[in-house]
Formats: sequence, C-alpha cells, structure tokens
Amino acid sequence: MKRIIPILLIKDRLLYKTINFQSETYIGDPFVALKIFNEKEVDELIVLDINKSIIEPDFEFLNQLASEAFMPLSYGGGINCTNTAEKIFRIGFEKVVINSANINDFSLIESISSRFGNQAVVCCIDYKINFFGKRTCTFNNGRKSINTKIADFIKKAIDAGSGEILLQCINFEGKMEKMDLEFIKEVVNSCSVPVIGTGGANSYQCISDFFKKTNASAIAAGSIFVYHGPHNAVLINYPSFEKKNTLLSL
Amino acid sequence: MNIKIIDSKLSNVSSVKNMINWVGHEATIIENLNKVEDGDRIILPGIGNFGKAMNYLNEHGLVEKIHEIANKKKNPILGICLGMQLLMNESEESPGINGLGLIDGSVKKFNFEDKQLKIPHVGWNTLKLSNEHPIFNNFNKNKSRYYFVHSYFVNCKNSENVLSRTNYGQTFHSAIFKENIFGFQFHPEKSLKHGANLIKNFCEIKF
Repeated sequence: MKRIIPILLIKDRLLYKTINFQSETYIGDPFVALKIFNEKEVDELIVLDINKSIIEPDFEFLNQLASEAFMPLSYGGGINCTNTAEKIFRIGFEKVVINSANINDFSLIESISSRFGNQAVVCCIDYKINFFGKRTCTFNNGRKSINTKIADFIKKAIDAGSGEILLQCINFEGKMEKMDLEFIKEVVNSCSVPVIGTGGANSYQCISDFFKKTNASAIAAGSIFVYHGPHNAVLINYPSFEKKNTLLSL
Repeated sequence: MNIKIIDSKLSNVSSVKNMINWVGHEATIIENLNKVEDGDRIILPGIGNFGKAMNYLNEHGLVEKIHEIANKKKNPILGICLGMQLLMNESEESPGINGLGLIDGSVKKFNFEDKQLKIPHVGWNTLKLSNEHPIFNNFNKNKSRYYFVHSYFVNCKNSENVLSRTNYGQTFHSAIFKENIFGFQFHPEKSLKHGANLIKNFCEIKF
C-alpha cells in the first residue's frame, strides 16, 4: 500500500515550514496539526527538528507529541547514539531518521538496526543539484557536502542496516514547483528497500504524478499539507480516504 | 474493572496506554500480576524476540500467573504483536522454547520466493473477518486498516480460534481468540480510529 506522509518541521516546540531549508515560516501549534492529522487518518508522520544547534532531541516535547499521535511516527534531529534512539522508541516513535551522523561512517545506523531492526532506521539523504546538474549528498541541514555518489552512499546505508531511504531534494524543498521525479525514479529502481521521495510537491495532483512516474513506496511533503489556496494561507489538510484512492488510482 | 498493561520491558507500553486514554479509559502499567482482580482486563504488548520475551516472563514468575488469570479467573487478556505470538505453543524464532500455550498453534517465519516482498511485513494492511465477535463491533470492512510490523506470523491449529485473516505474500491469522483470550498481530495503538475502535471494544464489551 503506497503511503502519503506529512513532514512536520519543529523548532522550539513550534511548527515551521521552510524553503530550500531556509526562510523559516511559523505555521502554528504542532498539537493542533497532530489532532487534525489523527482525524484525517494520515498513513504516517515524520517529525523533524530543524533547530540548527540541536544537541539532543527534546524528549519531553516528543513524549507529549507521541501521546497524542495514533499513527506510525518517525523522528529525526540530533540522534547521535543508540541510547538516544532507544529513548525515542520508548517514547512511542517507530522509526528514527538519521542524516548528519552518517557523514563519516554508518556505524550509528549499524548499531541501531542491529538492536531494533532495519525497519526502525530511516536514512535521510538531503541532496543538492548544482549549476551543472550534478547531485551531491549533504549533511547538517545542507551545510556540508561530500563527494560520494548518491547511489553508492545509499547502497552503503542499506548494507549498514537502513530499512528505508528518505530522499530529499533541497533545491526543490518548499518551492512548491516540481519534484525531482526522474532522479527519484532512478534511485527507486536501483534500491532494495522502500524509498520515500520528498521535496517540491505543489498539489494533490503532484502526488498522483509522483506514483505514476516512480515506483516509490511513499511520498512525503510539508507545504501541501499545511498551506491552502493561491496565497498559501495556513490550513492543515490531507486527502480523504476516497480522494487518496483516486490519487493512487486504486 | 480496571485495564492493566503488563510491562515486560520489551515493548513500548506508553503507546498502548495513550490509546486507551484516547478512547476514554484509564490504564495502569504493571510489572507483576499480584494485584489483578476479577474482571480486570489485561493487555500484553510486545516487540522483539520470542525466546527473550518468554525467558523474561519465566524469570519473573509471570507464566504461571498468566495461566491462572487466563484459565481460572477468566480475565480478558489481549496480546499485541509479539504479545499475541506468545499466546501460542511455540515459535520458529526460538526453537525449543515453550510459549504460553493458551491458544493451540505455532508461530512461523515469512519465507518468500518473491524477493519483491520484504521481510518484515511493515505497513498498513486489511483484515478479512472469519468469525463474528463483538470485539469487531463497528468494523468497517471497506475502510478499516491496521498497522503491521512483523517477521513471524501466527498459525492457529483450530479455525474456530481465528477472528481474521490477512494477506501478505500468503494468508496468515491476524486476529485470534479463545473465550476470554485475544491476540492481534497488528498494532491497534498505531492504527488511528480503526485501532481505537478495537481497543474501545476490548475495554467495553461484556465478557
């Protein structure tokens, strides 16, 4: 069953939306959003802490969040050791999203997956496309990059025990223009674990196109689930069961 | 009547407690079964390894206690995920280790020729009800869906114990029961209002 996943960006316990990982716009109270997402029956939620100086996750806040979320939950931000991940699982999150810790090696993915299973670890690839169309993996909110080819990087992450790949294009993130569909398709076809594609979705129609063009397991998005209308008024939304079936052409 | 969740340190009991609160009930997390009263409803959640979980229950004297409340006192008991698998006689995950044996059957590992089918089975799936039971009151056969995460599945010996079947590469028993004893392979606590409905029924139906 294909999944449609809202991404909630959190900073100092409030909900934000970014463009290209920058220009943070305040959206509202994450608990209000959560309540709506429960009612709208979202497939899953990804919660990412975007605080750039994060040292460790805000466990107390995440605990409150999890106590009101009745769907599968993933969390990313400041996870740098297995004990931190364990605390996140005990709070009630099913998966942790790892990005910056992978910059040197995959030992964190290895140790978390060997203790809690591959299904509990999502490797997040934040990539940038440069002027010449070359794509590079980045870390620390896109501030650092490495030369490893994305395909090689993903293969290593999977070998280390990552059970899912979150593939995020920074150039398209929050722009609500288009998604990097050709590349997502290429990655999905060479990847042995489920891929969640994200960055740039501009409408529900875009979800439909995404699943028609790529064989990805899931699409994730922020803007389309928190904004509405031509002037991007804040309105938390999610396709109904019937709408979703139409989008997935079931 | 109280709802009590057994904390075997191997699972995330808080999600189950949160869900019970969401449907308007209170639950207590307990580490032993010394203070279980007649009519108390017991939930046994679980994630992880069959053998490790049984060892934990054995070391803490919980196996006999569970038998006593299940078979003699007839307290309603609900096993979730690994908690369901523990109700069976044995599991391929840990050969040679006895399960609780409250419902006849065994636990087997998914094994697919088709490499497209990933193990564990993770994600939303549907149920096909096999036997009518009030625990499935208000079940919507077109819309209800449930969240699964598992590599092993339950195979009941007697079809009268099977409440629902689910398909993932093959058909397996996704909800089972025997009198006062229930097992769900999926996670009702993570299955939105569909799971809430089942938890509410478990808390409220008359036994």
